[in-house]
Amino acid sequence: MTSPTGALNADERLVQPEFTGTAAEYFRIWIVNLFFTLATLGIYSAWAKVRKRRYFYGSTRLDGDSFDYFASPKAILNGRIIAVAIFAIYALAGELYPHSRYAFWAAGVLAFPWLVVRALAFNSRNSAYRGLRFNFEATTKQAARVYIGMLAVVVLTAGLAFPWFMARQKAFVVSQHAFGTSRFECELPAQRFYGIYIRATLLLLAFTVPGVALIAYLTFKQYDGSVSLPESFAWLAWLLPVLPVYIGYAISYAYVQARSANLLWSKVHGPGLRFACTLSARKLTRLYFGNVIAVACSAGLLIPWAVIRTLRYRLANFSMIVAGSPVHHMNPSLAPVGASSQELGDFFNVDVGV
Amino acid sequence: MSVIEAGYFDGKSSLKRPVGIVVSRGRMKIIGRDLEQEFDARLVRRSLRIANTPRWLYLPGGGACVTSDNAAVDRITRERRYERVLHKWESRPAYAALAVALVAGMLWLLVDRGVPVAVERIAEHIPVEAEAALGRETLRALDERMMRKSALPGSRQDSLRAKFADMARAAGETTPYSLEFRQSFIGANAFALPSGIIVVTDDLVRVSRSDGEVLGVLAHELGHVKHRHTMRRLLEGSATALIIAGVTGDVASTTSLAAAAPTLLLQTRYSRDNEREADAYAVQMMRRADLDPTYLARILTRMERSSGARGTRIPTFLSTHPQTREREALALAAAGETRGPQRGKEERIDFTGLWKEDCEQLYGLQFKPLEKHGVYSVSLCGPAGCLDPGTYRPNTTVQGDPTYDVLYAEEILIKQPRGDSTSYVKCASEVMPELPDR
Repeated sequence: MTSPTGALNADERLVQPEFTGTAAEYFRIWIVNLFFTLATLGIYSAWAKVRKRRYFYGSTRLDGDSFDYFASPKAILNGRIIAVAIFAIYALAGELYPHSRYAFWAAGVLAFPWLVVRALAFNSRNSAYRGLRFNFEATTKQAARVYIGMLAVVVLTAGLAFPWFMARQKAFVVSQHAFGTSRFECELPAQRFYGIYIRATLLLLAFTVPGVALIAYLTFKQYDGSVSLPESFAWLAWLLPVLPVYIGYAISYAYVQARSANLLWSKVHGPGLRFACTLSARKLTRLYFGNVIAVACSAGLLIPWAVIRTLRYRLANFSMIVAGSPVHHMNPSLAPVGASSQELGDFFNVDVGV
Repeated sequence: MSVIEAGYFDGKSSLKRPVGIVVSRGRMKIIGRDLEQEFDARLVRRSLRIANTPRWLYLPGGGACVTSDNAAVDRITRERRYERVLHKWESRPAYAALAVALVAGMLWLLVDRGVPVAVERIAEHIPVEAEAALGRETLRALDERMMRKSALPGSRQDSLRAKFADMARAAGETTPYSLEFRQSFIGANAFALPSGIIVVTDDLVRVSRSDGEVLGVLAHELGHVKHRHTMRRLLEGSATALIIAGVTGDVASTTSLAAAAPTLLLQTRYSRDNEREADAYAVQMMRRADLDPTYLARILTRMERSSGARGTRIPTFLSTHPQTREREALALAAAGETRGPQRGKEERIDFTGLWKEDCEQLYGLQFKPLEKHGVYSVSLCGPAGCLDPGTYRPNTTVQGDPTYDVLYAEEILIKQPRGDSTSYVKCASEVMPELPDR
């Protein structure tokens, strides 16, 4: 039998993460977080975020030891306040003076590399494993070259360079991470990303085009009167056209997620370390749809169950291959970083991770 | 004296060493092979307890110990009060159940009371001038994409403008507005834009049978202007986004459709509230200007028909007039309210049930028996529920009330103030939502 991790060398051993969290336990943490967040009009959300993350980190064991997260809730709260203020100004000014949006977007693009660097640095420096902190070492200048420079290329090629950009961006994020003084390295072949994105696009079209055509046909029939919806189901007419697009999108999203994670981790290595990821696009899709249905049918109460289930599946398909027993060392020059960039990123739904 | 088994990391390397921890007389000793350290126990920080995840003890000097023995860590270090409270809440199912109930209650309070009140307060404080740029911009965008110059003769426009100005004056209304006539494929419609711009389509003027009807629609739109609905909708949108983000924060990426549905529900809910407010305002304004509110009701029906027939019904979320029948009934009710109920001879007929012109209709009247025998509260109901109890008539005996002409228990004739009458039939009550006791 061939394993997706490839053959292990003589001195290598396979380390699989163990996840001890349960949906019941996380449900209690989640609902209490939600309760205190609402009761304090959002202030507790910073503490809630830390508790949630500490629960996930503490429940994940790699080679016998769990992770630790020690971000200060107060730093996160400050970040959130700044983010909410900027969001409020953006939303109001954008509505009242529609042209001001362009100024916001321009500022957003220019500040983006700085935001990414600070957000990743905040997160990694507050994450630890075996008493050693992680770090994100890139400078804003390096990030600017990746994000602004490459985005310009993507725009100039009318999006054709997008898979190449994703490959570079992911490689950049991973290879600038360090565990103590040990750096991770990552080289991603862009042509493999093109393969992933082309297949994802075909998947999207395969589901969307027939669906939209069918709906268009039915809509036409409805207007010429040969098919009609009862008045109380008239809202379906507005939901149905969205459905095939959403389904197609979700499937190709899951496909990209699974395949690019697998590819990415197969190319990451550190001193005495390499990784393997074996997500199945089909299973991930099923997982996502199951989550949507469960969450919608339970009025949100199954959100924790969905989160734990997804995490469990992802971790079960992740493994680390360790050669010998490497010892990693502390980086003495780690300075604390503020949380506002990370919170801004969260707020404007900027996905900076991999 | 007990020994706690733990792992020790010196913080300089990832090497783990098994150690034992002993605490006595305020001193914490870490003992392992080739390792013995002693600290003032008060200087040792510990991580907060979360479920049964391993606990960390952060030692002075950068080292750390980790152990799964949560109870022992609680024993040897001083626990802060909020830690104990949080852990109690997070570990007991009964508290989780309580939290579910409290969260549901608080969300309801927030959505039903908090947001509308906050939004109203904030909207009041935003000067109308701030909306000017947005109003101009929106009108320009609509002119480019959906509307053309009005084909109505200038004299007709001027006469409608003058009549509405007279009506506003008669009603004592000083809210600034500007009236724009446009031609558009959207059919008979009218809508209010930010900064008090009211747009009326030519088709609306065309389907109207009298100027009173147009004035009724304008009064409704002025209601939107007066109550700052465009500003409120904007603020409600932001508030909704914040609530949804707060509640579903950690699954946004995997279940975005699940998050979209409640957003839509919340927004349409607020929009319906705004429509009701504008309706109530229109009826009030028309009565103050001595104009029959049933004008509004009648043109709403015709507008619905005119847009429905052309097969270009705009979706509810774009339309400013979503629930014609409910609103038609409201105006009729307001008109009917001017006369007091009259007692007649009492004959026992059960008036509970939904009364509609025909049972396929979504909107109708509900007769709810009151405590006093033979007296009913009549309300207007639609798919969204019933308006306040007694919106049509707070208490009536029906029999002997000059508004009603009871034909027999299954059919009733309702006399309209202008001499017309509408026949209603009794429909199965399951079709109808319960009358909420508000």
